Amino acid sequence: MTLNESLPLIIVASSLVPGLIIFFLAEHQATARTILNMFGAVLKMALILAVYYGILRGNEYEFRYDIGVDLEFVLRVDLLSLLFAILSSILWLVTTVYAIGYLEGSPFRRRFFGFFSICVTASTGIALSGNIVTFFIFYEFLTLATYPLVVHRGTEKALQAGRTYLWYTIGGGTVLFVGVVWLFVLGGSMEFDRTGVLAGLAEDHSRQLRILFWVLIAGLGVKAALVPLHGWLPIAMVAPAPVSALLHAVAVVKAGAFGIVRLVYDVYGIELADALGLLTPLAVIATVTIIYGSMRALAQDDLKRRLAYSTVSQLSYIALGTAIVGVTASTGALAHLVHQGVMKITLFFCAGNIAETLGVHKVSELNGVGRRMPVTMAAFTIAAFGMIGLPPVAGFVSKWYLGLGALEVGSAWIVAVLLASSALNASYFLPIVYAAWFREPDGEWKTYRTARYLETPWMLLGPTVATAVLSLAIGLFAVTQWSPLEMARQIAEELYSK
Amino acid sequence: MMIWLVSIFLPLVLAPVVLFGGFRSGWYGAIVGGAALPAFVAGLLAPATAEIPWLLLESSFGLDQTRQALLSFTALLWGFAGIYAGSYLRNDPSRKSFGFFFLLAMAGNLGLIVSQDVPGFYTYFVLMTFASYGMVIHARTREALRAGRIYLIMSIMGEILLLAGIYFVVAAADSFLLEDMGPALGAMENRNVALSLLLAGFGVKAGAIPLYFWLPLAHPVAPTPASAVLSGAMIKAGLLGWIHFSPAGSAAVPGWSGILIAAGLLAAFGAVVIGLFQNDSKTNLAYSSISQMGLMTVLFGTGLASMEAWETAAPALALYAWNHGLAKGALFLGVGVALAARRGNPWVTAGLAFAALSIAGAPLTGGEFTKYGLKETVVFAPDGWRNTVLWLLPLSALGTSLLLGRFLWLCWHKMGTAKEQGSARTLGTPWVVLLGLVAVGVPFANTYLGMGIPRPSLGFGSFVEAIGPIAAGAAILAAAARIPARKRYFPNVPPGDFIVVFERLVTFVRETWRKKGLPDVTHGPINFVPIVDRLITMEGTRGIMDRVERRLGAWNVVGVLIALIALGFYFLLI
Repeated sequence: MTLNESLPLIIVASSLVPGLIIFFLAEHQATARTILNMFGAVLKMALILAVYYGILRGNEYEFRYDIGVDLEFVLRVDLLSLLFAILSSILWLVTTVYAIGYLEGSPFRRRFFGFFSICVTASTGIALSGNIVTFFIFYEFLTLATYPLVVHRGTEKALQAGRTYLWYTIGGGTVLFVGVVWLFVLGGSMEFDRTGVLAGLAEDHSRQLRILFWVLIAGLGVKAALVPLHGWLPIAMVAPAPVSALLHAVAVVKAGAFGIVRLVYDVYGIELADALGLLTPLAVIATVTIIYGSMRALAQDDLKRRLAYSTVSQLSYIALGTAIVGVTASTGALAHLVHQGVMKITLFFCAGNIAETLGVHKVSELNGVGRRMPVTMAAFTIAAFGMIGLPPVAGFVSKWYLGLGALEVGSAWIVAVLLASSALNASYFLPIVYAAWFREPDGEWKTYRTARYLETPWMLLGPTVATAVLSLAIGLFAVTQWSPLEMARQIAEELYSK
Repeated sequence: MMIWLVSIFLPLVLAPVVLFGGFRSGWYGAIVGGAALPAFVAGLLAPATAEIPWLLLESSFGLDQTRQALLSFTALLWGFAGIYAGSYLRNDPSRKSFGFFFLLAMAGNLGLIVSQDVPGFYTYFVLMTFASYGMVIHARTREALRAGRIYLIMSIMGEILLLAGIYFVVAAADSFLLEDMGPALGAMENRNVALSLLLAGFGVKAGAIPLYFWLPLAHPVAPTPASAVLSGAMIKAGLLGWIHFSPAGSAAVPGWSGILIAAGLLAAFGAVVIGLFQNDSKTNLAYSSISQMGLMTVLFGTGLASMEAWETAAPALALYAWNHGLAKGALFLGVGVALAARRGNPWVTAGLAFAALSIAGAPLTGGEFTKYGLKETVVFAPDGWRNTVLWLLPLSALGTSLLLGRFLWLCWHKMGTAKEQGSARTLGTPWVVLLGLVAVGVPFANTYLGMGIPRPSLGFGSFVEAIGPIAAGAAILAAAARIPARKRYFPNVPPGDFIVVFERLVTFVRETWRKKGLPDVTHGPINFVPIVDRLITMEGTRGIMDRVERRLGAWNVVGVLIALIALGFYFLLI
């Protein structure tokens, strides 16, 4: 096995192995655990960046293993998988730092960090999967790896949330399984770099292909939180802040969204999907989700719940962009995959900081919090402005491309939806920003966590600042060579030049 | 390239410096005001166009004649307002945060003028809009918060409208460069939709009818240096937006020309009528700004009538904006000087009168040029409008004289009533220099920028024509002042006029909801969609949604659903 063959495997293993070792460490061996975690996170990021460099130079990275019965386990690196892999490796690194700070001194950290690493293994696996079967394996793997994290607190509420989470995701997994088997029967193992397979069947089996598409969307839609399959997401926010952050930004919801992207672009192919008339209904579902999520977010007083509904809404921008034909819209969708992740993780970090430091969980209790925690709220403000779609934060860039892409194909109604969503986002984020900065505090703040010089321990503050700066930077420098937008554009252009 | 970046980023960099640093008032003024200096230099020199491909979505900076004029006076006004702020806010405990927002808004305002690409322009526009909110609510009084709320709601609505318009035009132009927008608008299919969105979107900022409500509320409550830049400089950003996103110079749209002329005239006269009944000098000035923007709307509208009309209208408009910007800024700053000065101080009175005369277009002031440019331009108005406009112009000069005469009267009576905001001497210094610029600025700009508007002849006829409306206005005011106070009929028109009706309506709806026991879940005063908000959160709707969600959350329902789905697929597979 050459290095180029084994690299994808090593990337996946770089978080799996530390995760497994952590299970064998004792609970009190915090230093060893931290070193392992950080080693894995840094190694994975370095490897993925190295592979990115290699891909730009024309190298190919592919790992194949025959499972038998015509099933192949394939890990392959293409630009789309890199986009997702880079996002998850960078955000995993910052979230690991955050989680170490967040959980300091709390029980069951061994279990937490073990599953945390495995969870990231799964999402990297999803990113690198070369065919639908491998994708499905990691997809289900992710479901199981996340469950212990959701119920980590062990309270009655957490366990109940975990149950709901399992019902939804396993249910979705079952449906997806049916879809994948069906797909396998129709077209074999469905390598992602060979889109022509289904197009050949279109003439004879167009009805079947249509139904199959919706079966797969139903399976993926649970994790992607498409209405009405979104119910688990606001409930699962009982998990500790770093888990919510990762769940909402990279791991679970992104797996669903990424799956939809793969399904449309690399399984059906955008032309076939368009020809079968699948894209407009998908766009409609996405827009309904966008508006519904925002409206529900308006009514939430619990900060994390409000953010959760905001995720429901923002995530569907990706599905929406996928459903619009054209380089511009696809660029917007793929860029938003990254942009939403970076901005949303910032918001959850902020919510975590406020909850950990001041014990405040409700929007109505945030009056004047900006003066007590200026750095956290500055980060929150940047990310919230990005969510609304205000320049120069990243969210503006994705909306810009989505809006222009929609008009390219003459869908002015999508622009209306995007702007309505901006208005709704403004009306549930700006009151928070206003209350934090311009209102007088209601009383003395209680303090649960302290740091000598900073408003909260640096392990909580550092990641928050880093992701906030990142969401600003990828908007400000959106057209530079290494930006997510450029990468998205490259993928989109390749997609349509096939 | 450097000078463009420095012009925009110096204020941006200084903003946190002012926020965290503890500067004495003199240094504070120097920093806040000096931040505009590079932009002023850029305005004078008009350096070569520079592209900065790594910034935003490929930024491009440069100037044309109109924007060179805009940039120079905008930078001047921001600079002097900043120096003034140092003295004005010397006893204000929260002047650091004021300086922060002031500098951010400055960066936005300067950036949007020098930007040549759409994303850049929009970015700076947004920055300016949101940063000025911090200045509007600076005092944190009831009125300030109300003004801020209305400002923010209207601005966000405007921002959304104009973003929609921008999407349309950019998609049609297939380019991100501002210079391609005009031709695209001239040629595009659904031009009227895009134009309506854009005119309305920028109209909020420009204080156009019917989108001006925030202006007479926000301009007076902001600290005086902020009012000066709001009314003098930032309001022109809306105008610049119109110019960029209109077919001006690339296609003739006589229909829109007529609509804009009508709206402009309505604003020019309507604002005078409402402004005359105001009892606060700064509110009076705000209405004067709406009225003057109305005349600029007439100019802009005329420019859309035909291709050659724009060639005359563009320099006339730039010069008009220049004169109004500096003179209106000087009037606002003068209010602060008058409040701090000794009662009846003749120098302060003379300075205020001079700035007012300049706006009214008195002979030997800059206003004389701009009025001339206005007259030269309106002959290009579409047929049905030409005579009306020519006939109404002297009347509008009369209106301006009345309104500003009333302002001088209000100011005179308030002189020396507020001493806490800086001394007359420290406030007066930047003010006097600014007045000097008002005096020489317009002829200088006319020559230096090659605007080519001829100096009106000094003959007796034109002198009478210019002084006539002003003298008439003075006479009417003098006559009105002789009426004994108890016999005067003086209707009470609240600032913001019709917004009060809307507010009552909203309050009525809200109270009705509350009386019916419907929940109020809105947090904070930024109640952006009060009606929709309540609709979706009212007991009935929320109950349904909650019930459905709870159902979906229960495992047995999910289980049954999955079983059904699986069964369905089983049959499909067979």
